[in-house]
Amino acid sequence: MSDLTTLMNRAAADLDSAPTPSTLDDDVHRGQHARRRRRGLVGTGLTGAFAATVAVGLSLGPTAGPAAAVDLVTYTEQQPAGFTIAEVPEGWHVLSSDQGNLILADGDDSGADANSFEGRIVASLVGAESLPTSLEAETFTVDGAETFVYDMLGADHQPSGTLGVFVAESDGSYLSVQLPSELHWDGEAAAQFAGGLEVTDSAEYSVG
Amino acid sequence: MTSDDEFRAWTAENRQLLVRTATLLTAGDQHTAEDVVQTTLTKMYLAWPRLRGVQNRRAYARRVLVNAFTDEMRSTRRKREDLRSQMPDTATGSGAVSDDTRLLYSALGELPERMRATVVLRYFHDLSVAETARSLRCTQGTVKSQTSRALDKLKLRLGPVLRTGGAPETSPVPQVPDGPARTTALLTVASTPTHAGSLS
Repeated sequence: MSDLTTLMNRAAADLDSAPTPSTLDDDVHRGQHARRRRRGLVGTGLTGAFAATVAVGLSLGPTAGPAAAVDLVTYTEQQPAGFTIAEVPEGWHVLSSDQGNLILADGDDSGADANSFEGRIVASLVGAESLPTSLEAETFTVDGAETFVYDMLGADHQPSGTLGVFVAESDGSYLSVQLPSELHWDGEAAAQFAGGLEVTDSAEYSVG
Repeated sequence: MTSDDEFRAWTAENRQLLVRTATLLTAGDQHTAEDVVQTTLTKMYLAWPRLRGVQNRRAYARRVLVNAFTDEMRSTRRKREDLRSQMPDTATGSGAVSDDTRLLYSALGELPERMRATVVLRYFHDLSVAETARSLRCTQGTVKSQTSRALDKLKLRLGPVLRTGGAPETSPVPQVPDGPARTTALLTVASTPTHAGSLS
């Protein structure tokens, strides 16, 4: 006569369920396949949405002409925490950084109200669940990384001029970048800048 | 160590427990148990980058496993009568099956799925009422009532095989250090960052 715990333990002990190396390999492969499938679905959806955008004659990017765009220049200052930067908009600098967020501001930005993202570049590491399920975006491949550039909407649900970028990371997460209208960038410039941002091992998910 | 290496190492350490738990949850249906474990591990793999900062991955895996089990039962609506008739042949791998084990699986198979999950978590995983409630996302009152009803049914079904006497006496699950039994850190990770503007 046994108690329920003992009965369950005996039943479990009867199972020959120790994983073999082959079983563990299969577990990893199934995960990798699921991740690729998830990315593929996301990419397909975004590409389809973009095709629709083109068909109705809308364009992503700023309303100002390309001549107004701020140039990218090589970043030569000390690299911030959590990220490395290859290029920055000319005249812009790192306003603040931690393991979760990187904020850049132009030279006229006094740095007041550090919690405001208005008119500033914000980069964060986010999980795949942060990607909107419905998104019209341009897709680019920058150094092998799938990059999505889309218009962010204002309070009137119209494009605000601010661009959003998602760059797929190798571990399934995404680098999310917000680019203000002051840059006057098109999708290609936005993707190029975001492609120059690297997330370091010390970066943490943004929970702001 | 890469993320894949970390996942593989964790799986090597915990897969057997997941299989054992799933086999109890499925009342001895080892094939369905393996499906449930594979689904669980795939979800764990996809969540792995977010789980890097979570100390108690086992508690998270337990919750994913129970959800995968519930989904599996809901989607396939397996015929319990058929399962029961197969149990003696499918309940174990190469090991021998005792009469007590056959009887246990048969008795578990007669419990509703959530009730079965409740007793497996309480008596095999040695979880408290509160921990079980968190794993099943229900109230502690539900856990208590489900446990009470499950024990009544099992006593009736198992008869003299089951000694009455309430809470588990020993800790049945190997206590591998894996941090405190909470997964709240994961919840914060899942939050969408607040940015100016809005996403379409």
